[in-house]
Amino acid sequence: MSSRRSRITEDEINELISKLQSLLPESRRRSLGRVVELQASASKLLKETCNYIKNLHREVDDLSERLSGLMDNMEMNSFEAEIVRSLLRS
Amino acid sequence: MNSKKKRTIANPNPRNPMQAFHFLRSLSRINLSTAPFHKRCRAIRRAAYASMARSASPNRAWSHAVLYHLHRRRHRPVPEQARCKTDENDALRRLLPGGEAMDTCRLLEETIDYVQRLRTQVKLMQEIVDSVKDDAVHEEKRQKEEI
Repeated sequence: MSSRRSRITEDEINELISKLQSLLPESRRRSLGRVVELQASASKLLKETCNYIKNLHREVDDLSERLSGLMDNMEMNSFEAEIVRSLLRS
Repeated sequence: MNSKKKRTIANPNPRNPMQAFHFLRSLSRINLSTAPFHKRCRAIRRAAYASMARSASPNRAWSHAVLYHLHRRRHRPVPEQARCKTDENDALRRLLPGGEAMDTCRLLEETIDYVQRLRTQVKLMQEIVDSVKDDAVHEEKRQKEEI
């Protein structure tokens, strides 16, 4: 593993880390504080990323339930029409 | 030159429409075949992860891992294991599909891509929920007026 890592430069890792940081929503980014020591902040960043991913998983679950509920209430035809409309809109 | 100044939602990732297409197509298939709420719910969730994986770049390990798990009919496409005392790298490896075998650099790249697809999926599903609810409200109003 260490032999592989020597091929990846410090800069590339930094770039990946800052890109990851930019993906986190504003509220999570604020809790990271100022980037002083790369090692320390990288660990916090990974932790925030894990929390964010878990959050997104929960949101997908939640939205799946809501969609399922909506399918329940609506007429089959109008739901499909709505799907087509959404597709055209995006 | 001005168009490059600010990347707004108007200039999104080109994979997003592909993801929307996959998801909506899967949704329309679910509608007709599965009746009970829980089954439908699970089918929607599977469709969500499948559309994320299918619209990902083909060299992404996470997308292959997701499709593999879906193919094996795991209840949860993304296994989340019990928490034990390990470092953040390991935690991330467990969360990311296919993450166990990756080195740190690859892990970061895959995570970035995975998070992008996940966010798109959440936004997509939220938009559908919102527009379907709006439509339902309009439909109710219209029916009330007809009476």
